[in-house]
Order: sequence, then structure tokens, then C-alpha cells
Amino acid sequence: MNQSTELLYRFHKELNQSFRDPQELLSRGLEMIAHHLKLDQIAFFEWLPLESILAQRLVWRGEVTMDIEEEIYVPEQSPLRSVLQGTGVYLSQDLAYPALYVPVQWKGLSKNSGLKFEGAKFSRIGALRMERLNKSWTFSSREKELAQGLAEELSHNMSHADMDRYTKDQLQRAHALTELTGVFASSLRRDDAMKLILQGIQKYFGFDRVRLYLVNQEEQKLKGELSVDVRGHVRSLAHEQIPLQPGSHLFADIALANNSQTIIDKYRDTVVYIPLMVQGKTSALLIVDNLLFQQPIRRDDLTSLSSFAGQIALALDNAMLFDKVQDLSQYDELTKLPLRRYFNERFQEEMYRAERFSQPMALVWIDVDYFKEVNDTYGHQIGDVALKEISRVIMANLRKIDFPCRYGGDEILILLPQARAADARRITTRLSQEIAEIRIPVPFAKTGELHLSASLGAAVYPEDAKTTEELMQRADETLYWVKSKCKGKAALYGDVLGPGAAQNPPILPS
Amino acid sequence: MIFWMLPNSGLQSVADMKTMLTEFSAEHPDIAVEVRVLARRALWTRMFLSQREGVDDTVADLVQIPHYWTALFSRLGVITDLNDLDPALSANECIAPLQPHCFMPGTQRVHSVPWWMDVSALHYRVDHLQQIDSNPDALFTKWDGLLSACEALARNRRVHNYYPMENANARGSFTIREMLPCILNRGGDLFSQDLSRASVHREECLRGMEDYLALFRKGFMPLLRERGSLGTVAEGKASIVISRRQSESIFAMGTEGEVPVRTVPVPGELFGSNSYLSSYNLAIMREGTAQQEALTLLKWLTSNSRQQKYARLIDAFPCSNAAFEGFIFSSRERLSTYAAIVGSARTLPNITVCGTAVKILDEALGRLASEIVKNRYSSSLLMQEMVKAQVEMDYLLSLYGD
Repeated sequence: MNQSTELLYRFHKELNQSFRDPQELLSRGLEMIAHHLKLDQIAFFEWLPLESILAQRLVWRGEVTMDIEEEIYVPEQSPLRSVLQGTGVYLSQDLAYPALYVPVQWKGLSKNSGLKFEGAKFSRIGALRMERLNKSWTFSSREKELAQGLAEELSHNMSHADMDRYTKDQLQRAHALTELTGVFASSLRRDDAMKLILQGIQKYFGFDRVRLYLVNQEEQKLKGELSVDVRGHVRSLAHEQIPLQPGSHLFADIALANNSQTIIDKYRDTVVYIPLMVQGKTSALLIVDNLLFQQPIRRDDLTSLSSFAGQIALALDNAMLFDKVQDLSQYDELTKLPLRRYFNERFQEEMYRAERFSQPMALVWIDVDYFKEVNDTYGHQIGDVALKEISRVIMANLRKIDFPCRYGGDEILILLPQARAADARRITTRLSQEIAEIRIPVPFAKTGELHLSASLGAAVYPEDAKTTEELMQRADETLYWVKSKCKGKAALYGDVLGPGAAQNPPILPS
Repeated sequence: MIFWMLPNSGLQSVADMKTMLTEFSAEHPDIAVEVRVLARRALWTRMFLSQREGVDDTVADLVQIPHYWTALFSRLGVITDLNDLDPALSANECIAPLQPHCFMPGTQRVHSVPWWMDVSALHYRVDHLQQIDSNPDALFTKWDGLLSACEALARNRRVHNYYPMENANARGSFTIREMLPCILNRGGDLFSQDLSRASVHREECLRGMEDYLALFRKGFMPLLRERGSLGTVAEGKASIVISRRQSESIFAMGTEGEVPVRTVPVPGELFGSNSYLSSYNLAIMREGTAQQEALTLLKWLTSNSRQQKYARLIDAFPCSNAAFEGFIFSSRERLSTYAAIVGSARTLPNITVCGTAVKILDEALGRLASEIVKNRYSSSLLMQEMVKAQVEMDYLLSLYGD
């Protein structure tokens, strides 16, 4: 074995140790070449074919490697260009000291394994610049040959390191995607599902931002839902509402196209739009971006997201369906008021809160007057309209914290948290008055319209009752009292039936 | 403890830092510091990736950043609130224009501390320029004067690989930061006054850029050539340099004794002479594991005497009030030269999108550099690139406006 062969073998053995990543391998490789060839400085350059530029990525000097940039334009027909095409070595003509360019070529991931280039792996080209700062210490033919041998060995190892890194990345990705699939299936509630899906995508793909817009066909709008940023923080996008009309906005155009194809922003490779389709129609638009980072979105990420789009769409659709079913089981379809079971749950919670924080609470029981007669005389359709109208009036006159419920038939209950007797008196009076003003057109009736009225009985915690059952009973007793004494009016238990009730109790005007 | 730093003095960066750290290690033998030199591009990527899961790269504890990155990385939570580590840390020590760059926008919480700074100025070899004009200073009052001087120098000096101007850009190319004085001198800027819109596509900005690009297009300054293959002002293979560093090293580096160099403001046009002032700040990474040690080194490096020492080592300027005053008042010449330059200097704004905007612009300029060397450059290309950049910057401002 001659000296050069022995040195190359030693270099091969040294490089064959396992390195954590391609950068570490390159750094160590440069250092070893510098020692073997007694160099003062050695730099690794990568060839950027589109720009015709050799870009320095790493330089070794004085026992340390540094990431320092230098860019050299290499015109066509120049000797350095020939070297990059793999023909021999090139001794710099311009540098004041001996500097030898030696080509390296390896199979690896493109630095732009994003959107601009096709193919996950391709042959990459570069060069090593080996420098001796002593002007008179030139490179002998044997050294030039050895330099080429060392560069070839380095190239070979770089291919392995890049491929190892690629395989490791792919495994990591597969693992992440499996976990993400779990996230998609992990939540049934709409709001939770959206949040978890967006956070999962942000976490596993590491985008700057992930946004979700939902198509609302009824309102013909694309409505902003949520945005998750690079730190996993969730923000509402409810303020963003885009008319679903052609030309109104890029997002609207993408949604209206009803095409499942992922779209890369026309001007940026840092933004990607992913239409989420259910049964051939766009139900939502997922937008991911690396706008702050300015790192192109990787092609691999794009492929994964595209293949997940269907799954994300289904997960969202399922969550929305689940919410709808929940709504159906909790809300009355006709009046849109909560049903008895939901009310009972809420009533218990509110009573617990009232007890714990010593807050007042009132319960109002409403019964539509002559409702059976309305149904019998004008038919159930008119009866339904009457109930809908009364519900509308009730909803329009309540505070956000109040909780009405269709308790059954024509009976409606309203929970008034934090309401004292005076508050209950004010609300019931207003409701009674506004219900009395309802007019329902009935063409076949003599008057052409139907007038409605309702009786209201209210009781207040803690003055009138200490438990939910007692409160309901007192409100019911009051309603019965109103029905029997002054139909169409409202009264409070404390005013008409309680221990301090007056001889001539105040019946609330309507 | 790991310290990510920029190549402040090129290939000498690690050696210069080691000189500083010898003293630090003697004072703090329990703190071992590992220095890693990263180009701006690599540092940007690493800082973003530091907060992502599944990235197994080691994260630094202490990091050097350009001043205009503070807003972004403090908002993203990449760098930590230094007042959480030391409530007494304040920005009052550094010169006034740099103070806003220490804070997360909208707060008075210190997230980075200026370490050193540089400011653009024109340095010229008096012996070379006097051969073409008896009063060279007068040549550099207008940009056209600089072009005429370059033309005359190119005609008169027949030296191999000579260029009238040395390219101070470390990459051998150009960035928006080198162009800023020209842009400001034409009345342009990167952002509108209220910082709500980009203005890089506006005529005054484009004209400022064209001024700077003319130096390359006319062959007065090398572009994308082998570093080291070209001469420097000190070696006599260039006569003028627009640089943000001091000219002290040019004096010292003369091969035939002291080189006579004069420093003047970057030639202005309609709006006088403006300079770009840039500080390099130290910050502590949120994901770092040795924050207390990092804080000790940060405070040590930014103390007046160490600032002064390091700035001298790398040919830059100290940026604390006391250290800068010490520098500028140390000689009559320095005072007369730099008082006006620093007085007219501007920094980049401390807004969240600034780092990204500069990156967008530098990528556009990188494409233009490639077109210039291929002789395919035209003003319409510049316009196209800047319109695209402006759209992108406006979009960013609409999303992340402070």
C-alpha cells in the first residue's frame, strides 16, 4: 500500500465513524483534509446552478469551523466551471496564494426541498477550496491527486450522511403523522376539534401559522374560525368574514372552485392553501404559512398535508355533525329554546352557584293563555307560529345570562341568574306586555289576525324558596294564581302568595 | 454554555472572541463557553427552529443578533425577557438611537442589550485621490462626485485586479443595509413614516438603490469575486471603501507603513448625507439551559471596558454612552469625523416584521446581483423585484403590524 492509498484508507476509516448529522461530518471532514494536506484554510462551497454562483457554506481555519458566507460568480466557459462539471482541479489564478478548487458531488436533499424543485433527492455539486497562505508553498501533482481522492471520499460519505438524515426525517415524519391521525380522531366537539387539529398541524409541521376558515353556505360567507401561531397560541378569526362570491377575495375563489388541489401562493412559496372537501364541495379552507420565517414550505410537508386534507375535512365534518346532534338533543327544533333535560342541568348548576356565592336568582313560569283553543280553532300550524313568536319575544328581551326553556307543550320556563325580586318584576312585566302585542296573521279569522297573551308566575331565591324543587313549585303556584285570578298578567310569589303578601296583591300590568 | 455569534471579524471571529474570553474565564473559571460562528442566514434559521419540536439541533444560551431582530424574536418568545433574569438591567446605558431596539415593542422590558455598533461612512486613500483632485473631500459631497472620482481612478491606476472601490460586504455581494445611506440620501426609506406600509417600490427608494448598483454596473466595485483575490484599500488595490467599520485598521494595515486614509460621510444627494447605524445585541435564548451563565457573560461583554476592547479588536464602535464618548472624544479628528456621521445616522425600525422584510429584500437583491454579473440587469428588473417585495412586506405588515 503506497503512502497516498494508506492516507486515503485512514481518511475513509476516520469518516466512517457515525456523525450526528451531515454538517458535523462535513466539519470533521474539512478539518481532517486540512491536516492531511497541511492547509491553512479549507472552505466548502455549494454550487447554485440557477444563479451560477458558488456559495461558501463552511470554512475551517485555526482548528475551528465557521459558517461564513462568500459568493463567487462562475461564468460559463470558465476553467472553474469545468472543474464543477467534474474535470480535474483548478488552481486559483486570482488569489495571491496557492488555492486549489476540488469538486465534490453527492446525492442528497436539495436545500430547496420545498416547492421550487422536483424530486426529493438529486445530485448536488460543490467544491472544496484548499488554501495555503504561504505564497511559495504550491500544490504538487501528487498533492493534487490526493486532494481529489480525499474530496471523492468526502463526497461519498456526504451522500450517506444526507441519505441517513433523509431516512431519519422520514421516520420522524411518519411517527408524527401517526400521532396527528390520533389527534384528528380524538375530539368530538367542534371547537375542541378545530383547536386540536390546528395545534397538531402547527406542532408536527412547524409552520409559522395555521389558519382555518369555514364555508357557510346559508350566509354565503367564508368565516374565519381559528389561527394557531408558531408558539401554539390560539386566536379567534371570527372578525374575518369573506363574501363567498367570485372575485371578492382569493380565499373565496379557492373555496368556490370546489377543487381539492392544494394551491401554492402565486407569489410566495411560503404560503399554501388547502381546500377541505366533503362530498365534492369545499367545506373549509386550511391555510399554512411560513411568512415570518420565509422558509419555503417543504414539498414533503405539502404532500403529507394534501393527503391528510380529506381526513381533516372528515374530522371537522364529524365534529360539526356531533355538535348538531348535541343541539338537536338539547334544543327544541320549533322554538330553538333549550329543552327540559338541558334546563334541569343548568338549573342545578345555577342553584349551586347562587348558594356558593350568595347570589339571588329568579324563576319565571309562563303559560300561553287559551293555547288549546288556538290549536283547536286555527289548527296546529298557527299554534306553532304562536309558540315561535312568543319564543322570539322572550329571547329578544332577555339578558345574555338568562336561560329560557320549552318545558313542555305551551309552558316556558325562564331562569334569571343574579336577579332579585325587582329585576324579576321588571322582566316579567315587559314580557307580559310584549307578548300581548303579538299579532299573528290568520286570513280566515274574522279579524284577520290572532292576538296572544300569556300568564307569568315568578318566584325568587332565596326569599321564596331554598331549593330548585321549591323554587319551581312556588313559581308554578304563582302561575296558577295568575291563571285563576287575572289571566294574561304576571305576578311574583312574594307579592301574591308569600308570607308578606298584601291583602290586595299587586298584579303586574300588561 | 453555548454562544452563537455572527462572523464579526470574518475568519478572525473565533480568534478575536477567544482573546476576550481568556479574561472572562480567568474571572469566571466555572463557566465554560463554547463559541459557534454562524452566518446571518444560518442564525436566522436556527433561531426559528429553536422553538420547534423534533429539531435535535443544540440551542445556544447566549446569542448575538442584529438590533432589528429584537422585536420579532421577543414577540415569538425565542429570546427571553432579560428583566425576568435581572430586573435592574436597563437600556439607559446605550446611546439614545439604540435604546428602542432593546425592548419588545410596546413594552419597556429589555430583551437584548447592544454589544457593539457600526455606522456607514466613506473612507478614502488620500494619496490616491490627491492624484486626481487636490481637494478630494469636495469630490465626496455628492454621489456624482464619487462616480467621477471612481472613473478617474479606474483610468489612472493600472494595477492588476484594481478596483476604485473595495466591496465591504462580507459575502462579496450587497444587501439592503449597504444601500440604506443611498436610499435615505434620495429621500427614500424602506417603510412609510407611520411604519404601516412598505415604500421600497417608490421612486426615491429605487433611485437610491440605482445609485449604489451603479458602482457594480460601471465596474467600480467587485461583485461576487473570490474573497482574498482582490486588493484592499490598505494594499493599494482599491482607493475608496464605503464601510460601516472604523478606518483604524486601514491605517494600521498598510504594507508600506501608515496608509493615509480620510473618513467622510457617505455622499448625499437631495437629502444630505445619511448613515445607517446598526448595533449588534446580545440576547438569551428561551430554550437555553444555562441562562444564568449566559447572563453573566452578557453583562460582562456589554460592560464599558469590554465593549471598548472588543469594538477595537473588530474595528467597530462601542455603543454604551460612556464607551462611545470615550472613543469619540479621544481625538479631535474622530470628533470632527464621526460627530456629524453619527448625528445623521438612522437605525432600522424595531418592528416585528423588520427582520423578515430585510430578508425578503436581500433575497431580491441576491437575484439582482446575479443578473448584474451576467450583464442582464435592467432598471425594470429592479422595479419588478421591489414591487414584489413591497407586496410581500405590506402583507406582513397587515398581519404582524405593531
